[in-house]
Amino acid sequence: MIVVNTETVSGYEIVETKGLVQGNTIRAKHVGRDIAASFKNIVGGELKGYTELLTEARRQALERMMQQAQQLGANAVVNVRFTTSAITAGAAELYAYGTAVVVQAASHS
Amino acid sequence: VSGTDVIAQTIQMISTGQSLQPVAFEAVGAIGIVSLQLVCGCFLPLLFLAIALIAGSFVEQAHLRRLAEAEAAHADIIRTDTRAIPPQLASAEGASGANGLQSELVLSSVVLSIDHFRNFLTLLRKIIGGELGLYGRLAMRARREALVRLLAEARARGAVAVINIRFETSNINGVMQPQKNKGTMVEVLAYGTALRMRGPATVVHAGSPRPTSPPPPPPGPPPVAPA
Repeated sequence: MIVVNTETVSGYEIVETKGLVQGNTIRAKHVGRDIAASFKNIVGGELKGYTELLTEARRQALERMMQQAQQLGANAVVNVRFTTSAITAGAAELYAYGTAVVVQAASHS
Repeated sequence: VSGTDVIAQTIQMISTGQSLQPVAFEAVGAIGIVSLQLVCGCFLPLLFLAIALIAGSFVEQAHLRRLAEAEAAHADIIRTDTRAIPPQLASAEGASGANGLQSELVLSSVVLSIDHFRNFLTLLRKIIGGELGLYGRLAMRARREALVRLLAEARARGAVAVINIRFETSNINGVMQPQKNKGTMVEVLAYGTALRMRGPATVVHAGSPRPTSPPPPPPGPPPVAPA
C-alpha cells in the first residue's frame, strides 16, 4: 500500500476516492522507562525510552489506518496527517488520518 | 528534642557551671545533626543544580556538534515543505517505468528534555516574562534532530528528496510525568514523502536493512544538489 502525505502520488493517478480513514492508539507511560527517563531528565538530553514508545505507538496508529483503507478496497492513502494529544493525565493519544484512494499507474502523457 | 534545643541546653549548662561530662557527647551529636540538616537543606540542592548545569551544557554542546555533522552528511537530499515535485526531479516526475519516482511516507520523532538548572532559570525568568530563550533553543534542537533523522530514514530507503515535510511539536511533560512536574520535555515529530528513483537497483523493500552499496546515480540528468 502506498502511503504519502501529499495529495497526489507521483507517477500514479487517482481513479477513485474511497473516503477518510483513521487510526489511533492511546499509550500510558511505562514504569520501567519512566524511572530511566526521570534520571536522564536531570541533565537534559534525549529521552530514548519515550522516543521509542511514541514511535512504536505511531506506527500502530498508522497500521490501523492502513487496515481501514484496505477494508475499503483502497490501494493507497494520500494526504496523511498526524496529531498528538493529551487525553488524560499519564496517557497520550497518537492519531493518524488520511484519504483512502485507488490509484493506477499513470499512462504516458 | 531537636538539635538546637540540645545546644541551647548545653550552653545554659556551661553558663551555670554544671558538669559538662554527661552532656558533652549529646552536644557533639546535636552539632552533627544541625550540620547534616544544613548540608541536606542548602548544599545538596546547590550541588545538584551545579551537576545539572555542567552535565546539561555538555549534553547540549555534544548534541549541537552531532547535529552539525549529520546535517552536513545529509546536505545532498532535497527537502521542501511544498507538495510540488522539485524542479530538479521534474524530468522523472511524469515518466513511468524505470525512470519514474516512487513515493513513500517517512516519519521520525525525538523526545528531548532540558536540564534542571536551565529549567530552574526559566522558572525565574517566567516571573518577569519575556522570551524564554532556553526553551526555544530546546525546541529548535529537537526540530533539527527530527529533520536529520527524517533525512537519514529517507536515505536508508534510497530516496533523493523529501517533499511536503511537516513538523508537529507536542509537550508531553504533563502527559508522561503528571505528578512530578519537574523537567520540561518536548516531542517533535517530522514527516514527509520520500521520493526515490524507480529502477531495478534502487528498489529497497520496506523493512529491509539499509542497502550495502549506495544507490546508483539515477538515470537521466542527475539531481542538482542544493547549494
